[in-house]
Amino acid sequence: MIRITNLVKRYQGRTVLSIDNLEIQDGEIFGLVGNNGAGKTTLLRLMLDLIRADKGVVTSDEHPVASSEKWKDYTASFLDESFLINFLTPEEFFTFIAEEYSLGREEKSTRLESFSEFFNGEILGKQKKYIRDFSRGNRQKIGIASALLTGPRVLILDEPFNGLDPSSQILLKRMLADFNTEHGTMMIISSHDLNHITEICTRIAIIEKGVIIRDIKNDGNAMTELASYFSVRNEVKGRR
Amino acid sequence: MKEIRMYLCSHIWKSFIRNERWRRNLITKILYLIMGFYFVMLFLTLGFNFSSSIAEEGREAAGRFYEWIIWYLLGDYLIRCILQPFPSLEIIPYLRFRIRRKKLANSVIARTLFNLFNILPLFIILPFAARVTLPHEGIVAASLFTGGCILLIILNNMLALVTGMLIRIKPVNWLIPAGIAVSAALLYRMEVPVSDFSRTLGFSLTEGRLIAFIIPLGLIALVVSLMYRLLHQFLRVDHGNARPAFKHAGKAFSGRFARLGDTGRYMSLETAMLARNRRSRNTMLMVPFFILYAIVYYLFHDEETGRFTDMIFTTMFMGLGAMSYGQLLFSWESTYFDGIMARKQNFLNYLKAKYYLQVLITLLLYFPVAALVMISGRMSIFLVTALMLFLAGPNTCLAMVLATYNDGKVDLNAGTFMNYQGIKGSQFIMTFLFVMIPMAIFKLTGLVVGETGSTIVIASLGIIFILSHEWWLRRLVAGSFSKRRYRLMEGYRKLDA
Repeated sequence: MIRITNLVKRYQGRTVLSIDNLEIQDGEIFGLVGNNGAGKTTLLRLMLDLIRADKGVVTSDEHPVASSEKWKDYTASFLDESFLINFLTPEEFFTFIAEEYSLGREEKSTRLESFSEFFNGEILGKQKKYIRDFSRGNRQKIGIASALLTGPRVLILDEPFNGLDPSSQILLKRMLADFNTEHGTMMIISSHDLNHITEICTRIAIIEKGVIIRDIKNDGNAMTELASYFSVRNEVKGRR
Repeated sequence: MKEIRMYLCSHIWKSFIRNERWRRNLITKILYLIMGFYFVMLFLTLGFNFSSSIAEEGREAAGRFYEWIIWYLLGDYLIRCILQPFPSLEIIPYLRFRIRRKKLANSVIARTLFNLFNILPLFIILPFAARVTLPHEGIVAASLFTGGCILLIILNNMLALVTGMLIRIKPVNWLIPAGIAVSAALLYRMEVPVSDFSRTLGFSLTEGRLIAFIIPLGLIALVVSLMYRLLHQFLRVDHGNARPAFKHAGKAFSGRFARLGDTGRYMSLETAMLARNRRSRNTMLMVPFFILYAIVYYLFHDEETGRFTDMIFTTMFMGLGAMSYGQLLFSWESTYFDGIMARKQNFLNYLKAKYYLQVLITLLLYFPVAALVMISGRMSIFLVTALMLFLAGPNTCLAMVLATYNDGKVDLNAGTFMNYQGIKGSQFIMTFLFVMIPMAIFKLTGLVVGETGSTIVIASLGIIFILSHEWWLRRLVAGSFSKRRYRLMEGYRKLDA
C-alpha cells in the first residue's frame, strides 16, 4: 500500500502540491487526471523520491520512500525519456534492467516475448539501433516494456498513451489490465485521456492546482462524472 | 526577407546571451571572466612578442614565418575536423516556418564563422601585419597580407565543415582527413618543398599577386556551393539519423567486465556512454594527445625545467585523462539520471564502477609516461609511481566528492570544443587542487624527511586511499551524494543547463 500524509511541495514559495491524505491499495489501478500543470508529474516524482518534499511523507509498504530504498525492489516506473538510456540498443537496455533485477536469461526472454505484439516487430530483432534513433512512439514502448519487464508489485506510469498509435493504445490497455489481474500489481497511471483512464482504472482522482479535489470509485459512471467536471470547469472559464 | 534575416540574427544573439551558462553563481562568473581575460592577454602578448622578435630581423625572418602557413593550415584543418562543432541542429526549429532553405543555409554558414578557430590565428596575424609587414612594406602590403590570411582561414573553416558533413553522411569519410594527415606526413618525410611553396604564398599575399587571392576565393566559392548542396540534404529533421549501432554487447550486459559482477555491469554502461556519445567520446579522444605532449616534453624539450615543474607536468600527463572523465562523473548521466535513481541498484557498486574506471584510465596513462620518464632520465621511476598512486587514491577521492557538487546537465551529443556545459566552479577548484595537493605534500614533507621520505609519504597516502576505497566511497562520496541528490536531479532536469 502507498500512503501519502500531509505532502507539500513548493517551488519558489509557491505551493504546487498539497495532499493531506491519500492511500492506494495493493492491486488497485489508480488513475490520476488533471489539466496541464495540475501537479500529476510532481506527485509521481515524489512517490519515486525524485524530488524532495517540503513537508509530509510518502510510504510504500510502510517504507518511507525518501529514507529507504526497499520499495525499489518491487516498484517499476516510466515517467519520461529520462528513464531511458538512449545510447543503448533496446536489447542492451532490457538486459541491463533484467540483470539489475536479477532476472534469468530465460525469464527475460519469456517476458520480452509477451511484448512481441506490442513491439510490432519494430523494437527487437534484426535492426540494431540505439534507443535515441527510434521514433517517439517506439521509445515510449521501450520505456513501458522496461518497467513491466521487472514484474513489479507497484507500477507508476506518466502519460503512457502519449505518442502511441491507436492499435498500440488499445493493446497497452489490454496489457495493463491483464498484468494487473495476473500479478495483482498496483498501478498508478496519469493521463489526459479520460476514455483510457475510465476504461482501465478502478479508482480515479482529479488533481487541480496540486490538490486532489475528487476521488472517484470507477463503478461504471466515472466517465460521466469526469466529463461533467471538466466541461463545467471549461464553461465557468468561458463565462469569465 | 530582410526581417527574417534579422530574426535569425537576433535569435543567434538571444541563444547566446540567454544561455544557462551565464546563470552561474558569482564566483564562477568571476572565474570565467578572469580566465577569458587571461587568455586574451596571453595570446596578445604572445602575438606581439613573437612579431617583435621577427620585426628586428626583417624580411628574411618574415619569409621563415611564411614557411609555416601551409603546415599551420594543415594542422588547423585536422583539429577542426575533430573538434569544430556544426551548428545545423540549431536550425531545426525553423524548418517548420515559411523560410526559404537558402536563407537557413546562409544562416548556418554565417554561424560557422563565429568560432574560436577563426579568431585565434588573428592574435598572430594582426600583430605580425602591424609590427612586421607595415614598417617594412607599407600599409597596402599589410592589409593585403591580413586579408589574404583571413581568406585562407575562411577556406579552412569551410573545408573542415564540408568534411564534417560528409563524415556525418558516411563515417567512412573519416578517410578524407586521415588521408590528408598521412599525405602531410609523407610530404614532410620525402622533403617535398612545401615550406618553399608556403613561403612563396606568403610573399604573394603581401605583394598582392592576384593568383594568391583568386585561388582561395575560387575554392571558397566551390566549397560553399558544395555546402549548399549538402545542406539542402542536411536541413531536414532526420539529418542526424540513425547510424547502425555497435555490435550487441553480448548476452550479459557486463561483457568484458563480467568478472566484476554488478560493478562490471555499471562499468560496461559507463564505457558504452563514453564511446557512443559525441561529447564524451571527443573528451576521451583528447587523452592520447596528452601522451603526444608528454613525448615532446620528455624527449624533445632540452631545457632544464627543474624537479618541481617536471612533477607538475608528470601529474598532469597521468591525471588529466581521469580528470576529464571524473569532472563530470554524475553529469555525464544527467539525461537518464531519473531512471537510474528510480530503479533498484546497488549504489556502492555504482560508485565503485566509476572509481575503477578512473583508476584504469590513470593506469593506462601511467605506463607510457613512466616509460618516457625512464628514457629521458628526468625523474625517478619511484616518484612517478608514487604520483600515480596518489592520483588513483586521494586525488580520485577528491574528484568524486567534488563531482557530487556539480548539478550541471550535459548534452551528450553536443560538441566538445569550447563547450563548458556542465562545468561549474567546483570543477575549476578541482583542476587546481588536482595538481597542487600532491606538490604541496611533497614539498612540505620534503622539508622534514627529504625527497626519498616525501616520495614514500606520497606513495603511502595513495596506497591507503586505494585500499580503503570502499570506506570513503560509502562515507564520503555516497554521503555527500545522498545529501545533495535532489539538487543534482533538479539540475539535470533543466533543459539548457
